[in-house]
Amino acid sequence: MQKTYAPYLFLSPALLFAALFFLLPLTLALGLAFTNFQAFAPHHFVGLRNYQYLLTRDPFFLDTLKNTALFAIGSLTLGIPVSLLIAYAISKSRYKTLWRCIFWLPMATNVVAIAFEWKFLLDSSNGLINRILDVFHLPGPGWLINPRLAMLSVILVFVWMTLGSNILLLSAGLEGLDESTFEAAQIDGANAMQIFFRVALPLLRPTLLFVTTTDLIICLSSFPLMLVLTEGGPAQSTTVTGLYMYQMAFADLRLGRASAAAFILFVLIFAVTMVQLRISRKGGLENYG
Amino acid sequence: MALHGDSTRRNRLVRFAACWLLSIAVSFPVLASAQHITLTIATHYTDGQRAPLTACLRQYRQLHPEITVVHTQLSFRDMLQTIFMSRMGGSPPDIYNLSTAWTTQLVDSGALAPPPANVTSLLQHTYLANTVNAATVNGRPWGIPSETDVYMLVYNKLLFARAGIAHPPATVQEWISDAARISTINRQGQVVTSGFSFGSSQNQIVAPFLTLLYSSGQPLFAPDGKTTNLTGTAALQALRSEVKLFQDRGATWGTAPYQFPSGALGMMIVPNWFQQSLHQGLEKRFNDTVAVAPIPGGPDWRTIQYGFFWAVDASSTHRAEAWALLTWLNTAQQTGGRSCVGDMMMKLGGLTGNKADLAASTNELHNPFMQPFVDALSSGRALPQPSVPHANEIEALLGKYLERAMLGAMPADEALRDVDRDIHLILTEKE
Repeated sequence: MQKTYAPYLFLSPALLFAALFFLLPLTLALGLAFTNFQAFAPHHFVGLRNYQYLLTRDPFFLDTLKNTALFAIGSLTLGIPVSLLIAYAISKSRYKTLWRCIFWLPMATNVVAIAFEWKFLLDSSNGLINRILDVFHLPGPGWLINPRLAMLSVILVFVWMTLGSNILLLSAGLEGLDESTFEAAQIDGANAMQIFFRVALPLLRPTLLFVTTTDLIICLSSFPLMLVLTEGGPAQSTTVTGLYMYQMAFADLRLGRASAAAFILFVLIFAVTMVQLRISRKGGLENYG
Repeated sequence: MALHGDSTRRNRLVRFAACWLLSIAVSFPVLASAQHITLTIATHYTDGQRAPLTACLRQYRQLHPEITVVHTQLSFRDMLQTIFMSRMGGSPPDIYNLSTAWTTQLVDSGALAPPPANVTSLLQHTYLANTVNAATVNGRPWGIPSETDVYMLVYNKLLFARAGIAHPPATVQEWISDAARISTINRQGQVVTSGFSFGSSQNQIVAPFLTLLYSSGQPLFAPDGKTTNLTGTAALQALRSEVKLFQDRGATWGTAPYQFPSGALGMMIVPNWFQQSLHQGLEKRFNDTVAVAPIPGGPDWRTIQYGFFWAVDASSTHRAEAWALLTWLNTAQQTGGRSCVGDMMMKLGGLTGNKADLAASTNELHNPFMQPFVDALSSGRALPQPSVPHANEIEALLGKYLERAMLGAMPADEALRDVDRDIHLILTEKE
């Protein structure tokens, strides 16, 4: 009897916390998503009308989904390889701890401070980056004011911002690999490139899976960087779904519709993550777990 | 035995009296606090901006020791949502300082208490009609007008002189060509000095467009209150002018009016309260640099006026005391003097609809910067910002489409057609 209830007793603080701060708000938000709940107006049940509006009539919602996908794909395809290369270089270098500290430093700064700092750096006429380009007689693009470039700028800043944590995780993964495997490959005549691609990378798959999955979830739901750096502009080119949802809820005060948008985003993140896990596990965790 | 009985009775009486006295003593603070009233005022003004009001509230406390007034500062951007949340939580402030654009939405939802007869009489006799109308719904005023602001063209005289332009633009064509002449571009192709600034917030984008639309004789909303005039020729011409301004490099994205003191902007359409920021940025250079001109919309130019008003929450349990406080704050305590609110408005560079305050503020208002704003307000060229349901959402929506057109992300006519459709959807939706 005691054995049956003891685990639940020990788990109860965590379960209570999860029920209060996760399940309850989630259930309330799910309920809200089926109402026309908005400020200063009576609200009632509207069925699937919020979902229907968002997916068929809202002028910007689908665009924000595209922007979110672009941001996530851009950040992952650029961020993960760069982090991996730097982590691999660090693992083969002296003063590993020093390098890790240097690359991890941006993580100690708040996203708002980072956004403001980059806003100054990327200023088209007076920013440091364009001033440096000017010294070499290179053209200085309108990083944050050109609708075609603004998303790329946001991706670059995000990659810089998350580089440290990715490097730290991948370095830990590389440190955990058996050195004798690399030595065996070297004895068999493999060069540095072959060792990296044929030995290190496959062995690192579980860590890579963790890093890409967590980064993907962060990318799909993140918006504070855009809120401060570009306010979603110019011409909504950097308005991701998270930011649009925030504006819907706290500027337009359409809380029912914003809840529905949150659940659409939740389903998309869940589906993409499941697909990613499925693909990555094949020949990854299953082979090495 | 009888003696013992008397003694017991006496003891009981003493105990009863002691208990009674004790209960009175214990309940005294409760009774005292029941008579004490705390009024909460929510405004968007910072400590520095509301300093004159704070001094007045201290004075009011001395006159009415039974009333404590607590101020809550809310960011203007979050004001409506904070009011909504506090009302949902059952602890809304007693007094608000609200944007007149929200009047309809708040009145329709039953959030505001109607003013008593003495306040209505004060409004009729002391305030300019257009400022009272801005806080009126279905013929009934819902509060006391406070800050009134008018948008005008503010320009940098030094940059105009450098570009060889003798006078500010009077027409849209002059505005576009002057902005292009003032703009300077570096060798990387980036605009260093922008002829005109739109800013990046939605109201900064929408305001110049509306002034051009109003100057063409068209209000934003049709008389039925359900449709807009955005699909008309006037709106299309106004937006095409703005698109051309961008194409000619007379304006660039990402500039903000706060850059004006640095000499990075030639012109901007801003409200009068911006005077304070310009003074802070330019200090002694203010008079040599800044000048104000009418909206470049031709001889029949019009501009927009927006404002704030004092209102009392419908659920406040101290509505009478709240209105009494507001009446006191908005009435001059000395003959020929200014009211507390009038004093605050003049200190922060705002205009007021209070005729007595206007008469007592000749020094503050009759200077080269403020005079054009006062003239626009008193001549009727300044038209009130319309109060419609979901005013914030509609402004943001309009801003988004204007932004897209100005940056070439969609054609001007398509942008206006789409925004008209979306605004119509909001205005006709059933709650």
